Amino acid sequence: MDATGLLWLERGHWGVTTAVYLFFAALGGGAYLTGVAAYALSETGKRRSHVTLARWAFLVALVAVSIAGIAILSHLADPLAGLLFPVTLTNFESWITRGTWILVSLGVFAAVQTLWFCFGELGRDSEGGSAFVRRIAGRLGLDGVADQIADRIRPSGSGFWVVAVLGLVPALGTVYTGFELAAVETVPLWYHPTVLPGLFLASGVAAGIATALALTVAFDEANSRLVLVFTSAVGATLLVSVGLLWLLWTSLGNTPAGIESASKLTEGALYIPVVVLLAGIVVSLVGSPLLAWIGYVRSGPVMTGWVVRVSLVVSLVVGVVATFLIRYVVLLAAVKEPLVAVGV
Amino acid sequence: MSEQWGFYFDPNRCIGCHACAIACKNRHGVDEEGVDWRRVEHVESGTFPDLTGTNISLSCMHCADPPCAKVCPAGAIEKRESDGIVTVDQDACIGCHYCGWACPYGAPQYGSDGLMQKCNLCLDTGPGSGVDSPAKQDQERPLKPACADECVGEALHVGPMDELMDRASQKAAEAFRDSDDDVNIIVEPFSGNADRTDVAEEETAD
Repeated sequence: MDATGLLWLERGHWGVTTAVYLFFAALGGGAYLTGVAAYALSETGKRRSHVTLARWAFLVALVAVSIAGIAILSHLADPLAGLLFPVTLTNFESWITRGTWILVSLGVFAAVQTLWFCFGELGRDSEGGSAFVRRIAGRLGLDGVADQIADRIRPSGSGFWVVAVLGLVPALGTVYTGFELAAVETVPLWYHPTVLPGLFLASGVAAGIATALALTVAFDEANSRLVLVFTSAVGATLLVSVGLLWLLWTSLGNTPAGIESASKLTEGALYIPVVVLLAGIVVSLVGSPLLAWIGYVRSGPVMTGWVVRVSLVVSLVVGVVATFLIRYVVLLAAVKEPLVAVGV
Repeated sequence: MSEQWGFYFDPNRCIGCHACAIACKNRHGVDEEGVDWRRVEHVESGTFPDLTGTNISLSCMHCADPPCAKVCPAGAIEKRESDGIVTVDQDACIGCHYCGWACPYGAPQYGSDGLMQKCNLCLDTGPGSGVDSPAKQDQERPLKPACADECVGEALHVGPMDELMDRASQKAAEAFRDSDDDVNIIVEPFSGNADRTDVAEEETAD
């Protein structure tokens, strides 16, 4: 109750779990995209460093999709119904139904690519950090079987590319995470179908590239030029995200709920996450390409110098955290438009 | 749609006693705190001494094109063709709470089981009931919605919309017809706190 003739409705149907789901789904899409791009630049696998990045990227995609799946299932009142989605989710008008199919499809493509890049022709000679899956399989005595399966189901030549490119459909389809919110007309902060999906996709791609790259730089020999190219992509996608964040902020509107959301973002409990988010984006946007450039100039073909490498990994991780916080604050600052008591 | 059921509400007659909300809870056995299929809110505007306030009794509006049904991934929410009542099938509901965001009126409620429950216009009793019930107008012994039945000021009525229109003032009927909202509730214009005394006097005289 207040003295404005407005009736504010309860909110808080979704929380951190949903933010985790939305974040990892989009990160998975970005990581898959990174894997395909890295392999496309590898001269059909001749550049080991590129293949290593692709291997990490597909692994990240698989893990991210799995985390997103677990997060959304844990959020549901009936997780079993969620698992039985082909039978239970029948309304294709809902973005949750569409999103579930996109997420599961991405998971299948990511799993297949992970198998192909960790085992068989592309994985047999792998070494360094990215070979940890192979080493685990080896300890379990499963690497031989996995190699055989990978080689048997891996199509050669253009067939491989058909699969890789088909996987890009659900990877880019993770834009649905934005549409899930943008379809809600009652929340002015979300109801921006031309901005929010783009923001979630761009920041998801940034997070996917950054995560795969951070793992490559941290645990493997990273090609300096490759790192420079992909950190530039991180910078570019973060820059797009900043532009879309600005658009979202400026189009919030002067409705009661829009004003309330703005207040929550600038004065309330979300103020600190917003500051961390913005600082994180700036640090990663400027720092990552800059550090990669320093590494490129100072190192040879392989990035050396632990200070630069550690700083670059930190910068990339900060960017990833910032992209998570975008979802976090967008979810928690959501306010439903209040009802207007007629005649009061 | 063969018939559309809905509500008529006169805020001038509502004394804010919450009998409708309690009656609804009792009828449907909803005893959890914070789960209210129907609730009464007091809304004020202005500043003292020019303060105006009114009571609003709210529940599911049984919208013509319910946004909750559109977003429900499981198709658990149905706009019934027979009587226009919006029902939820709890066996199909997965408890994602998407409908909670989509509904502009805060109608979807969630109990400790996390599944959606809301007003079913007393098609039957209990959360999720009424899904397979015959049309309200075709039921042999239709339940009179508890909220309207227990309303001491006769501020709340339930029935087919064309019948409720007969009860409405010209202003309320026009406002309902001209409204862009697709909600099925006719609301009398609030005429200020002064008139409430008249209603009370009228009730006493009756």
